[in-house]
Amino acid sequence: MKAHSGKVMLRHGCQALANLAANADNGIAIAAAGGIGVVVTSTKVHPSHTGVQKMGCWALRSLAYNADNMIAIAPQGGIGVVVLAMKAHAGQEALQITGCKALSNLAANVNNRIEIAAAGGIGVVVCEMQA
Amino acid sequence: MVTSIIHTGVQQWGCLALSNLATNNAYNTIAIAAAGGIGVVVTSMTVHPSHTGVQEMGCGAL
Repeated sequence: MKAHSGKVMLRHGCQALANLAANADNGIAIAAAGGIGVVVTSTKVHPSHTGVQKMGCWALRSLAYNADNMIAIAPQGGIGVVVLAMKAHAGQEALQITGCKALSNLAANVNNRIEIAAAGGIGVVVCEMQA
Repeated sequence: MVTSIIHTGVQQWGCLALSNLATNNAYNTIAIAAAGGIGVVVTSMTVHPSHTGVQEMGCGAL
């Protein structure tokens, strides 16, 4: 994923990391290997591609089940990419659900709640529920 | 409220997101209210009275 920037490649890469991170030990190993940064970068490379955005959100959601990962995701830009994905793909139900789940998991951390609000996360969730 | 409101998925997980964001954070509770979050949760629960997930997450948010 670090060496290739194709949409399909990054989408499937994020999906693979999301599935792997469903296992607690894998979530730790993925973070240790730099996986959080790879997922964030992947979502930034293709902001208009719904598939990459959805799988990126899903990967961050899975990684954020781990308390240390919750903390590590924020400074690497993970909260921002989830909020931007939801803003850029309004009405995309599957992506919005995944984004809400990612924000829910990330908001289990006290500091992340503040960061999510500052990034516009509250507004994007309410807007999508109202749309 | 013509599209997302009928989709229980966005409503359910949106309620959970708002619920977690409001936990022990006074600023966020005010921000959620100001953004119309209370109304949207109540509407969601009203539109989906028999959906357990929406009701559970909605109650949690309120």
